[in-house]
Amino acid sequence: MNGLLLTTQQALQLLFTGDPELWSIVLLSFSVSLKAILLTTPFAFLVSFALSHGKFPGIRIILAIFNSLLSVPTVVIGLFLYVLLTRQGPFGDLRLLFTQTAMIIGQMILCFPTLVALGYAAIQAADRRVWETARTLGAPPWFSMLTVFFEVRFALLAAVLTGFGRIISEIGISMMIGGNIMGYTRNITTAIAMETSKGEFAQGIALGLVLLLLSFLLTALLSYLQGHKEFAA
Amino acid sequence: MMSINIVIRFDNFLVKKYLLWFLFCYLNSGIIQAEPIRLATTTSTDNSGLLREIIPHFEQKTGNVVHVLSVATGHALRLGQDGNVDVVLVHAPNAEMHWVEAGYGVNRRSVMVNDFVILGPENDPAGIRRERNAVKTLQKIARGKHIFVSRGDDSGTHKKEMALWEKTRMKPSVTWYRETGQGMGRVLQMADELNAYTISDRGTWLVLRSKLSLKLLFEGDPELHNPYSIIAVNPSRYPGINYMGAMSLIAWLTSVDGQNQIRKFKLDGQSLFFPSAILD
Amino acid sequence: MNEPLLVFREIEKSFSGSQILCGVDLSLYPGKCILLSGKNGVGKTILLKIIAGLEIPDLAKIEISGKTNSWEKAVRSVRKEIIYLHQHPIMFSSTVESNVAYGLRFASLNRKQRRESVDEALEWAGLTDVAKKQAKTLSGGVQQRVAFTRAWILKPKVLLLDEPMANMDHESREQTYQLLVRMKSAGMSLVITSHFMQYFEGIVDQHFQLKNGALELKSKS
Repeated sequence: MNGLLLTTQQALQLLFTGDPELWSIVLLSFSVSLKAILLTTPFAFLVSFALSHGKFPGIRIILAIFNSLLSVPTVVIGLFLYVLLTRQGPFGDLRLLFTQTAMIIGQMILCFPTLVALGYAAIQAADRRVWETARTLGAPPWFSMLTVFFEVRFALLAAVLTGFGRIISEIGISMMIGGNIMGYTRNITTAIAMETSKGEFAQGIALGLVLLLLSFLLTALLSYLQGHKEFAA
Repeated sequence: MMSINIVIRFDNFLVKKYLLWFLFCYLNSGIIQAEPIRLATTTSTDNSGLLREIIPHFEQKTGNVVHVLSVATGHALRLGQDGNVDVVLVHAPNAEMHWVEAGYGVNRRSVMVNDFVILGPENDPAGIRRERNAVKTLQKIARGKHIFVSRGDDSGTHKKEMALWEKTRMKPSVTWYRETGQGMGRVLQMADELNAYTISDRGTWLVLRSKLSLKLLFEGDPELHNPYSIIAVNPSRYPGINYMGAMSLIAWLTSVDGQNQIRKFKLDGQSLFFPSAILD
Repeated sequence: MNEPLLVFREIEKSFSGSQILCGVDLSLYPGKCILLSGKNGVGKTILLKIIAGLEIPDLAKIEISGKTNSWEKAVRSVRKEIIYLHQHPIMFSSTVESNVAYGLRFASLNRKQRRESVDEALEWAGLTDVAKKQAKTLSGGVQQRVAFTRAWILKPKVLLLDEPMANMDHESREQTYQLLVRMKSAGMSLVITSHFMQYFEGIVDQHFQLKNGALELKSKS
């Protein structure tokens, strides 16, 4: 128990004295995950909208596929991407392996089903009259869609937060195709894995605390949005 | 319960354009960089902290950027074989020779040497402290059926361990031999928990010894020598490989400057690696 | 009577197996008001939505100034002149002003003209006092007026109103009636669905009943 307290103390020290290496790792996590979510969200919600309003065959099947992809283990995605990106693989010439870009791509793939599925739920819950009113008042389809998005913005934001939570805490992809390179592709989760495998718990705990704090914040935000949704008529 | 009154001014196209341009620049900001040299090395090498200490010297001197991937030996060689890295630094002589023979690497150079040590509980039930011979210590452990924790992961350390077991002509039995498939740090912790024997590279031992109750019980046998080599990935196999970068790194590591840097590196007050590139 | 603005011919629509509309014809005249009655669920709303271009019919033709075209070809240009109002209109999550200004976004007006147009419309409907309030927080009657104003500001040729006076108190009904009168005199063609013919006495020019998929003329004034 003593050892644990000491380690936690060291961890907090690292955090609050602004240990540059620690914070560069945290920054990298955010940088990669933010880019991934920002790039994926517009397209994902477009797909959600198409699935919600579309009248083409196979919508049900597509939805079922997306729902089943919601809980794909990240190592599976990581492995799959590794095979595609390795030098000898089909996309080897792009030389994306062990880069931040590859991590971003991997996380984009990871959060896409979540965003589509939750976005779909949000849009389905939207009042059909919003779309009809927008259209009848002369708004073109793209703007009417944006109007619908605005009316369900809290649910959409919740979808984004959920997606973000999923990708910032993943390790399977970051480890496999990021490579945990210090200062370049080492993020919170790969650093924790590495530090613990070295037996250096202080750093691991410090990073773990950051991640824990973040997940609390996300959960709190999500609850706030939930409550807000019930208030807004 | 304040709903935000946002009047979406999409008629302000300039604002939209500016935001998009800014977003594009931000997202691409990582791409404009010099081509890095990708070095695959083993976790034990990296964990000692040597590379973190000396690589910046190389980077400053030559203006190169080195990306270090720290993985198990087998994986490091595999990365080189697949062309996913430019140069490998490992400590598994047999595997290295086969690798070069197979045409995966060129210009193999000796860089440095350190050694393995055998650790165990303070009271040393197997009585290996007074031994003079690495093989004999393992035989004693096996005969006494004392718990022994192994890497079991095809790493350089593990290969050395297997070579030694070969020489003992004894086969470790599951009742006392624990194959973990874990990294060196974890293995030491586990050995600590179980009050067991294990073999470790000196570097990881020095880093962790203050946190463990394990003691260094045996060292010094030439059998436990641990030579490190650096090998460039064969450029004819992959045209885009940063061969010049790889050779530049090899040149520096085996230069007087590089070798001195290696010699100067200390862990917990002890010299850890002994330069071996230049015979004087 | 004068020339019809638009004539819809041979509208057919089936829904989950049953034929709701079989060959409905409807002519819309400027400044005239049509009342549509019929049982609940008989298809009045669907008919209105088809006319507005919000629902796709199985078959339909549109006649403009004597020329007939299939629904698919003509609907795009026709849609712009027709606005449909829901029975319970939905307010966007913004101010009354913002709601009213919504459709103006796509008219070619500059900011000053838009501002004037909005102010004028708010005055027309008596909504100037609540202009800056969140539309969703207001009473049903006021929301109804906001919906009317939202449509009126775009000066459509045809206005389709689905049960406009349902769930209203007497005062709101009066105000709505007045708005309808003014819309009619501005030249708009109105189509109203309702069960309560008595509320629309004095403005209805033609009364049809939708029954068994066809329109029956009930009265003409």
